[in-house]
Amino acid sequence: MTSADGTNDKSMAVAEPPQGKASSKFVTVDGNEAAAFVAHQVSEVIAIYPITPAYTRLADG
Amino acid sequence: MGELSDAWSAQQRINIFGTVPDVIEMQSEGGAAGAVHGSLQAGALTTTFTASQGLLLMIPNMYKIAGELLPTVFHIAARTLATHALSIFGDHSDVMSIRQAGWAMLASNSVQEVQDLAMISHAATLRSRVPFIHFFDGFRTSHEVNKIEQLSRDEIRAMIEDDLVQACRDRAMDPDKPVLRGSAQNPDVFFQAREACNPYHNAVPQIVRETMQQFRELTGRSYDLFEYVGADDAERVIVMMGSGAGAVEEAVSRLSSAGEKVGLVKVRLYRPFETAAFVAALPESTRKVAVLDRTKEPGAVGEPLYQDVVAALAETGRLSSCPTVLGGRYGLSSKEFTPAMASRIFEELDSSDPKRHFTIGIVDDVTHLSLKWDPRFSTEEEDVTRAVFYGLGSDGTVGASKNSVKIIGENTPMYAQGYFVYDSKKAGSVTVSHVRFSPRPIQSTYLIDRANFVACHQFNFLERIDVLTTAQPGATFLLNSPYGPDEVWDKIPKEVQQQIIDKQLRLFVVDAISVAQEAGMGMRINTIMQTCFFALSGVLPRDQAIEQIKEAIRKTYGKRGQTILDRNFAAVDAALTGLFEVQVPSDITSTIKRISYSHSEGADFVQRVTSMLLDGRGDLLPVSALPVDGTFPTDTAKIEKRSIAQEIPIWDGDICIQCGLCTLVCPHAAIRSKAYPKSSVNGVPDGFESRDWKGKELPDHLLTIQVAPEDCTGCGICVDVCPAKSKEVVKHKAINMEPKLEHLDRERDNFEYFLSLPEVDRTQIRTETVKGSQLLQPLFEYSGACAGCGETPYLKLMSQLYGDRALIANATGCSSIYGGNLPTTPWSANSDGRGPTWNNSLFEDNAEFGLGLRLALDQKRDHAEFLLKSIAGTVGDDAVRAILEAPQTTETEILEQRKRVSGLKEQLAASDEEYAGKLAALADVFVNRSVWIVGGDGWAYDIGFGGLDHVLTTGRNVNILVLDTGVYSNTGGQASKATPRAAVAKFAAAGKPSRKKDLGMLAVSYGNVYVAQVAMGSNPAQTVKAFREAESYPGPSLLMAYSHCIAHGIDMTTAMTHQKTVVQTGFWPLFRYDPREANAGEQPFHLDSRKPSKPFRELAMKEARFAMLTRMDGERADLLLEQAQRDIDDQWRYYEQMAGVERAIVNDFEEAQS
Amino acid sequence: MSVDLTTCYLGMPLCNPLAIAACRPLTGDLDMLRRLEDAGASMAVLPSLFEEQIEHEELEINRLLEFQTESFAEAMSHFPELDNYNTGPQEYLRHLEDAKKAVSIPIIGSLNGQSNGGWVRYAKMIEEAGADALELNVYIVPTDPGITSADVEQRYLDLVSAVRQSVEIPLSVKFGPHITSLPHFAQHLVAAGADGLVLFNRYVEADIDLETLQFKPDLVLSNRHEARVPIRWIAILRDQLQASLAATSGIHRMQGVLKLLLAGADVTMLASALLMKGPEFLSILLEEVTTWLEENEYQSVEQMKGSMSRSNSSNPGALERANYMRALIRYSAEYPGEPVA
Repeated sequence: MTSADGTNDKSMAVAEPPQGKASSKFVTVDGNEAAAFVAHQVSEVIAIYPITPAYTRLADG
Repeated sequence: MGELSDAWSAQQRINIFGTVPDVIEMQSEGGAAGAVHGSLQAGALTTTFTASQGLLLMIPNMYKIAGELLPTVFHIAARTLATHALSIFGDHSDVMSIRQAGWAMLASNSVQEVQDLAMISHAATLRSRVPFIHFFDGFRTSHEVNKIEQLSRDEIRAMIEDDLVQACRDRAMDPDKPVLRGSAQNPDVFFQAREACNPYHNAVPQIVRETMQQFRELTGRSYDLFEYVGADDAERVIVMMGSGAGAVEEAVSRLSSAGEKVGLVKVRLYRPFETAAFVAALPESTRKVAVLDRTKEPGAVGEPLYQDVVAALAETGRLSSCPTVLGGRYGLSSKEFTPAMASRIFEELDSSDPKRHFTIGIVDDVTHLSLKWDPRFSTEEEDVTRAVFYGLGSDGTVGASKNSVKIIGENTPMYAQGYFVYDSKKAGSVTVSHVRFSPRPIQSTYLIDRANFVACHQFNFLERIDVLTTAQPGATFLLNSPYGPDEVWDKIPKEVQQQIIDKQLRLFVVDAISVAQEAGMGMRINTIMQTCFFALSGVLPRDQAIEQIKEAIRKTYGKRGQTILDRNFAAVDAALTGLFEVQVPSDITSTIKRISYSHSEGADFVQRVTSMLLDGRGDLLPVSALPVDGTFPTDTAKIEKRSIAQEIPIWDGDICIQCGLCTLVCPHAAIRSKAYPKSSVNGVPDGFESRDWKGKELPDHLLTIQVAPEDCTGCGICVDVCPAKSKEVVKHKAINMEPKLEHLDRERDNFEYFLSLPEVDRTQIRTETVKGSQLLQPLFEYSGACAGCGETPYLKLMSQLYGDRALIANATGCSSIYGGNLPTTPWSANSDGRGPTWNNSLFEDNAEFGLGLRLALDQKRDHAEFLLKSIAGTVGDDAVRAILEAPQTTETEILEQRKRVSGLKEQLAASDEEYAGKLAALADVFVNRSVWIVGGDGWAYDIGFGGLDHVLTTGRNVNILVLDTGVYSNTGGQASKATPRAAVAKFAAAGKPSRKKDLGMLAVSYGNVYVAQVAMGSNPAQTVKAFREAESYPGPSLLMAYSHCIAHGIDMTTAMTHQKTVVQTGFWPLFRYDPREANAGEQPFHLDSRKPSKPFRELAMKEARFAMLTRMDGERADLLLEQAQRDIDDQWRYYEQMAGVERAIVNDFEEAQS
Repeated sequence: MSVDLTTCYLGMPLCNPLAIAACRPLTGDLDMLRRLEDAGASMAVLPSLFEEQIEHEELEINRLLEFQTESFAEAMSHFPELDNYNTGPQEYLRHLEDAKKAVSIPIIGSLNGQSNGGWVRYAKMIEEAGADALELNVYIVPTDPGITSADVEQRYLDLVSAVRQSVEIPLSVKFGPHITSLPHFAQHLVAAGADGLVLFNRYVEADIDLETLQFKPDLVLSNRHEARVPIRWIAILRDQLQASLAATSGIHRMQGVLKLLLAGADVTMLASALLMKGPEFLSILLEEVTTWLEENEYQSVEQMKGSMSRSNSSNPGALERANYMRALIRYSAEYPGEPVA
């Protein structure tokens, strides 16, 4: 992939999944949960109002 | 996202600073943005989540937040803005509407990216002080379940620098070091001040690049402002952002490996748009660029991203080497966008005369902008499992599919993706789950159309839905079938047999329903079908699969108790015993044909368009088939005939006391009563029941109570309210639920005949009574609401009384979805073609919108009056006076007025007076119209309250109907200010701590507003009386209608009779306040319900929204329930005293006229 | 010299024969339990743990949380996902543990199972939670004409032996009097592993609501005449069984206690009386029983227990002849004058 600083990356095939660090944890979540997961941990006040797309809860680990 | 944050905070889950984030629900997105602005100003790290219309309401505060360089991140599931219609689905029209607000904008294309770029946004905003919009496609990304590598708490902690957090604290408003912000500036300095923030915005790209670099070192996952994929020497490049990039990337890798010189630039940091970085990402060899925008900006040179790209190329001098820049629109409202379409775009770039501006994904036979793509082009890989599951909302298919994705994603090295498509009905809705398993990360952001596994979880779907369109040759077809392997073949429709043979599909059947019932699972067949899927698809070895399924069940249902686990385990163990392969014969033997709506009768539009929608082939409709301004015909729900009931009500005339209650309370107008002259009876189908009409007012008439068998949802409310019991068999009533299949054919013919009978003469019956009102034809029928809905009976009653003269302003919410969600609408018309005309403007403006309807009507009437008076000579003074002043309060008077108007129009047709034509066009407005402003409590108590309050003071004749369920029902039961104390709801998981807002009394306090609080199930007569008084009152009237709802956690079948307890406990007092009785010291406030005779706890224990709290936190439950009882006692004392209060208010109407 | 009130039930020494029957308002409340102990109760049976109710609640909660979820794009669920619904027996077992800490008198768990698996599973849990003994609250209302009385009795015996093989603590069985051959059945219950029998289980009989024409189950407190049924059968069974015998229902006064002890009961279980007159009434009762024993020169409860069992009583015939005629003649001889209506 050509990134902004011009270095070309030859591998064309879809990249092998990056081998996550040994400690990395794989989870299956949807986009809403992925965003909320980070936002909740770095926020102190969350002011919201109900709107679609409402969220569905996956059974957490 | 908001709900999840609330759930986590409720579980005391702490943030990286060690505190539990405070999640607060505001009255609207505008309110939320204001609260965020305040919280930022006082130095707290603050965020919010929203979409579409919500984002628009935040714009004013966004300008302020950017102007004050307050670091924050808004996470947006980008969603379609309402234009000609509302759409809950995904595109960029909302985020593109705020690109000018001065916020940085980061786009994520996949679930992994959403997590990562959310993190990068939060880090970068602190460093740059420029607020960030982090957005991703609504549904396609927000609801796609995918396997991602989760950030650890330490990684998150490492990305947030403490000194930057402290910097926010230091800048906060603080009386110890007071500053002034939000000053008002003058022309002398404003411009300079506005430019002062430039360095901060200029620094953002580099800060984002450095933050991404830090993120790469921490996690190994790399991102950049713009990312290029494709041939190094590419000449044709697509530029885009959002989930569509997944499809284009697959097309690029397929085409470039075949030697084509193509590539893709993924735009991540859209604002600030760093032109240098953008052109650097474009290979030098680029000659032709296609910019794809997932939005539409009518009247602009091109869509936003297109304009940015052209400007960037022009500024950097790259236009000369890259002269061809095309602008394309795709994917509006989650329209599919596939690799085949990307490939077609690359072809267009190569054509000698490419379309400068094009659309793709639709057929535009009006302005001919669309490109025709070849669906055969596919990038699906052989080693990827692609499964499509067709199920009902109620059978748990989606839940099981999500668990399957979880099983593979979290327990194997493979990757898994799940995406779910729902139809727009709330009862008996069809769901389609698209699931992929692959050894490589899955970025196929499009529906599966080459499935190697198809499962149909409901046998009757075969007659209505073409489930095998997506099956590729040799695929496996799993069918839940009540018929065994050797008898099922003849029972499936002809078309399905044809497909199975042509595509050489392997067919398997399992009688999942009997296995489920055997295991005590009722209709929940999901775990059984899931087990069969794993056994057949070979994604996992069979025993490992079964063990994993059980583990998933333990996680999902563990909290709910051992019984559920045991039953699910039993279902899993028994599933494979019922699974058989069918030896597929080589010839078609079936006589059954699939139902198609295309033959359905009805006006041309319905024939051409609505039937295609009902057949599920709406995607094929060209642009010309669709209305230009969003105007759709009414009276279409009747052709759906969804036939989702298991049991339908059958009338027993001998026992019936003709009280009209069953038809009154029917949420779906699927049970009708009609009185018709004996003389009008001919050609009666056998089994058609009728009895002599028992009222004095309709001599020698017959009465029939008739079910609409294929429109009834089987909710059973009619039977529950029926007061007439057989003397011989107590359980047998005047109307009884009986298995539909035994009665379907006969009742279908009966209903058809019933509709052919003449409607009753409205002037001959006492419509002010329950019984009389129920003889009127309903002009609201067969809505898509939940079976047994508490809201729809009120709308039906209104449509019976005033439907043929009604204009309806409907707030967004349940009522706008079951009332106006395509393919059809329950609002219908009578034989004269008259019926309610309906419109949903927005959520927050409904009262003002309805007022606007009134203002226009009043103006048209004044104009007509002027024209009429000007030709009084020819028409005659008496006729003029009659038309202008004759009363229109009773049905007879209205009929007289209609006759006068049609007489006038005949005269005008024959006259050559100058104004004749104009007046003829307006004359109908002399028949009084009835303006209804309808909505739920979310609108009336919260987001729309400002408008409602103002409209109440205008004195204009509008009837406001608040369908009060006490929660935001449409979005899944979030608390509103109407939510009662102690009720559990989303954002009030530990029981609502505060008292319900008394909206009724707020309106009463104005003095000249008619206000009534009604509950149909408790006092039907008072409900009818209140509707009539509200409509007849010449000023603003407010009807607070108690609506039971599935979010109350009740048995819907007995929900209407349950309303008796609701009123007997004083929880919902019934009253009417009529200003017409408030002028000369009279007592206008009538308390219609009696002193509370039951404790509130007795009601609370019958509704899960209260009872659940006692299970989880007995102490808190006791406290809140006790407080709730005190609320009720206090409110009753207050209402009792109000009943005695004498008023002498100024009567705006009479005095104004004198 | 004061009377020795001690007795023994299910192998447990009790300070006196007055115990508290399974009754939610009494033994389901810790404070009430303490007041009962202070008033002299020698033992308490906790209210029953109903397997059927646990299963019903779990299914209801599941139905609530599953209802119409994942079927409409704008609303995936209609209820917040909550943490614990504390379904299952946790609440009951916690109360049992708390009761054991709150009072020192023996605490007996009571179980009303439904499925064979359920009887065994919950019996073990009650044992592990520290119950001193387990009372099996069994009532079977046969409605299928195809089932014989032997079939029904066999179901009692099967569940008793199943529980017997799964727990170590003493077992008692509380069942209704509607048994064709009660002595035979009682013997088999003991053989199946019952250490004691609680005579008898009072069924909650449904009433009819004339307004709504629906059956309406409602609890009617016992009255003192109902004690005669346990008097008869305890007197008969006393000689035939080694097992402990507990008498319940209809014990409202001191006389009732004494009569049942004479018939052969090891312990008398009270509920309705205390609901009506309050827990402190128990101490009055205890005093009256003690005074009677002293006045009639009994050394101990043990001494009088069963002294009027069928074999020990002077006119056992009265026990067997249940028909109306014989009792009437004797009755009129002793009370000449008022004719019996």
